[in-house]
Amino acid sequence: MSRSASVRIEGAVKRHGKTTVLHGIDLEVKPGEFFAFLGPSGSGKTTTLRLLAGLETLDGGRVFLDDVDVSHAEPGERDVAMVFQSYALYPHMTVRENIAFPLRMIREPASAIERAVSEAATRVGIEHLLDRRPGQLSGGQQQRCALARAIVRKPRLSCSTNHSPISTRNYVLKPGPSCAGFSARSRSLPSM
Amino acid sequence: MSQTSAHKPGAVARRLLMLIAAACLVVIWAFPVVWGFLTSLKTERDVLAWPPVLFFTPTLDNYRAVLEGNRSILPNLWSSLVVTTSATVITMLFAVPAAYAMARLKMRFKRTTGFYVLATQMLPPVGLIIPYYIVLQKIGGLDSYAGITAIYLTFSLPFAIWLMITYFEDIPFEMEEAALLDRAGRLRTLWYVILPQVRGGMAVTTIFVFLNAWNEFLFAVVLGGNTVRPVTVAMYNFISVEQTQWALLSAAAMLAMAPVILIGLAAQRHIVKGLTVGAVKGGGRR
Repeated sequence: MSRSASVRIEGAVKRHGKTTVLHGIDLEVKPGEFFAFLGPSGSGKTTTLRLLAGLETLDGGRVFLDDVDVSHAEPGERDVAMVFQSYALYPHMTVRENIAFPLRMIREPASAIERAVSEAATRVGIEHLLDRRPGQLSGGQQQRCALARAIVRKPRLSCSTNHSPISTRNYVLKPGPSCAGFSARSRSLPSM
Repeated sequence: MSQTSAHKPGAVARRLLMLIAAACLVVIWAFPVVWGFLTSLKTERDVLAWPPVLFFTPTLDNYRAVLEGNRSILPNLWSSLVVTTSATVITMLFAVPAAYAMARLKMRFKRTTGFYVLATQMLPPVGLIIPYYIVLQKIGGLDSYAGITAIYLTFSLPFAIWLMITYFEDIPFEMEEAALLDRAGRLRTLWYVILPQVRGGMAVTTIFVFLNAWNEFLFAVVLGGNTVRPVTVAMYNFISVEQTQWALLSAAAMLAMAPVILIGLAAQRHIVKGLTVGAVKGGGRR
């Protein structure tokens, strides 16, 4: 799979009110690379990923995906997926509908959606839970559902602000389509 | 709480107390309704009998009298329905997007406008009657459906917006961001992701707005007339200087209550569902 993007961040600055959260970050991630941020709470791991996804606006610097300046692109235009810390699963939809949602939004044909959903669900091992709602899943199953939703449309970059990136990596990188950015809390990382 | 206290001594007694308290509340609520219902089935003579007759031959004459002939309240029920439905539909059409905007978008003067929305709720309605009357008179809106509906909107809209905001605020931001990354865009996010989650809230708000408008009397009696004469006003036909026709009044009241009760029962399922679907465990974090 060749759909993985290179990431380049140049001098990214982000302020929340009067506090400067990112003081000019420079970062480069090659295609297919797995990249993890480690740091204490409030050090800007999540903010950096949110900048990549377009959920935060830059106060300075630039963001490139595949050498294209996406600093001011809308989140939907960037082809970046994200697993949120709270998973942000849509509670009124079944697992199947949750995973299918990104494909429905780009108007994929129904048969293609069905195939992609079962493929993604199988990859994260929740194919037997497709008809449940997120509220009926355990924490780990919810996490995998969120993962499946993030990888189903094969984005060129997937990010996770989730605590346990190792399990995430296993699923994303085998047979890894994408470069992944991860924000991690050191305490939940097993020894590497 | 109930789970842990169920096994403690005294829990049974507490439960019993709660039951008695609940029973009292139900009796207090139900008494006038039951009394009204029984009265509506009595003849005028039985109504005024002292001591009250417990056993009487029920009659549907009162219902016949208030539904047929020249004292029929059917036109008034229709009048109520038109005003109430239009006020409710228009309110919801504007309140839902407005509340979403107030809950989510970053805009200037949000606090000020939010306060204004609430401030209109703080004024006593009586104080507004004369200005409303003058305004409607100037634009020819007295005793017209458009005029009365517009007046109803002035209090139902702020109320509905204010209530809906709390439901929108309960939805975590990340939910919307996830939808944005899924390329849903603002409108489709609202339609597919946000609105289904506030369905319960919308049902509750719709019912409150409908109830308020249906039960409204003060504005209707002053600003209405022969064209717009809701059932709340029309019931006063049965009260005159010489006598009050209690049986007819009760029958009319029962008929006026019926739609409200039916709607409440029909929407109950939605309300409960709206409460139980809720957010995913841990999804409420912000």
